[in-house]
Amino acid sequence: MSDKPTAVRVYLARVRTALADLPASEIEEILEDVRPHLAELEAELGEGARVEALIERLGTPESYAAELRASGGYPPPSEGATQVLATTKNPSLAKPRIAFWGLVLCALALALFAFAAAVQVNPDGLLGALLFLPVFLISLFLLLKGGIEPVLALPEVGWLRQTLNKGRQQEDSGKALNYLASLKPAWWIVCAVVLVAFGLLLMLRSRGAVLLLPFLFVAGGAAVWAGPRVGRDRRLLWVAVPISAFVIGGILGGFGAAVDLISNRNSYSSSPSYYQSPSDRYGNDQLSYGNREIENVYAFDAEGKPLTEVYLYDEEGRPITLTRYGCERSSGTKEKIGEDNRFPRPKIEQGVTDDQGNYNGYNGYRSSCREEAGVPFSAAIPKVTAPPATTTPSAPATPSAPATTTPPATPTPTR
Amino acid sequence: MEISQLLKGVLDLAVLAVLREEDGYGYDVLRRLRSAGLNEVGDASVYGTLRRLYKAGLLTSYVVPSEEGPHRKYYSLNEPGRLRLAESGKTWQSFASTMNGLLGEAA
Repeated sequence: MSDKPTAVRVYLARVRTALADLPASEIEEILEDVRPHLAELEAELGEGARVEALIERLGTPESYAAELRASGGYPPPSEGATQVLATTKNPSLAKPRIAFWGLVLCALALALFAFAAAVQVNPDGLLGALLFLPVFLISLFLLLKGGIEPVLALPEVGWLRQTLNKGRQQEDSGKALNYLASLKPAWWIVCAVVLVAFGLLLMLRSRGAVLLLPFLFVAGGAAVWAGPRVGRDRRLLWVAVPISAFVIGGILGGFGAAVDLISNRNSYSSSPSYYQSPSDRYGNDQLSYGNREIENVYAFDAEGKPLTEVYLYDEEGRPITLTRYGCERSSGTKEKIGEDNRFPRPKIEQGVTDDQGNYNGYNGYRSSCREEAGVPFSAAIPKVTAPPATTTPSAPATPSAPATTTPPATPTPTR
Repeated sequence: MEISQLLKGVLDLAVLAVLREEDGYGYDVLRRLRSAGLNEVGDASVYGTLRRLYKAGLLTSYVVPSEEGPHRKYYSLNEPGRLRLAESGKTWQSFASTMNGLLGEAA
């Protein structure tokens, strides 16, 4: 074989390498277009043409590839992960990646801690943020050492910027984004004001926050200083992003605290002792004894005989109406079937069955539900003359009383 | 003013135009552009543009074996390509006449 094909091959091989991150079929298509041209060029240059001669005419294969990319609408080499580039770049990707994700992590953490501190109006919550200080310092160190370029070259950062650019080009989201961008200068002022206000508010709550105040002042000043300069020096993102995250978290937390305050105030005025909602999900009142919610009431007569139909009323003759639950046959779940003041209710048990209908067996998979009427325990009622005694669960008195359904023995006070 | 700067905006149109009458492979297209007077056009730019127009569905391609040398991949204008050429052509005409009007006294 003569020199002739070699020069073309060498040149094409270098173009191919420079395009290596593109799909193989696409590279082949491009080279098919280029090859006849190179062959003719070589024929023109004559026998024994060297790669240098081709380079003189066409530029380096690398610049040729770059021109192909630019005109063909292919991504620039840094954005597409390439096998060739990836292997050489992988080790250097780690540091910028730590710097970038460290910043993201710290921003999220700061936002969360600011949110927590603002909701509780308690500066102690901010101490947790100190845990992330080492992460931030590492991130900052890597940034200052490696510079911002490797971080901006990260695929994830490239993707983020592309997405933002795309959003900017679209009609609606573009308008919204541009509007937000126009608010940027105001945002840094807002940051400073919120930081100082936050510090003062916390100081009102606890004296210890005085120590925090200088930090918040410095952060506020940093926001006003660094914010407008971010466009020119992306490294200032390491100042602007955490502060912004902190402020956003703080504002949201402040809203939460305000909503909390207002709703608490309302409930204080209506029913000071209620903290929990006293209704169930069907809007019916629930019965409670002390702090415990009561689902069922069993009544016994003086002989210890269970009463199966008792209607309960309060001291003003109002029925004590609770939601009555039953089993939904098709789905095997507990469902509301009505509401009344009749007790005791059948006990609703939820479990699983298998194909044989065995309840709660090893192979059970279908959710099922069953109702058990009757009283799951018996009560020994003390005689009026006897000293006060307690009811005790004893051997099941009713046929439908499996051991598993026995509720915990609770002493019932008697008079 | 750099002609290469101006070319960036109209290379698509120029490539579509030289394929209007006759199909051509990459080097053909380049030569036609050059012989039409666009000497500044870069080789690789033409090939890149051809690929982009092809991917945009404005061109179709077919391969013709060659007696000497590598086979040649011909590009031809399809219906969407012709529509685009007509459209962009009109845009260019009105743009060019506007510019001419603007420069009437200056030039």
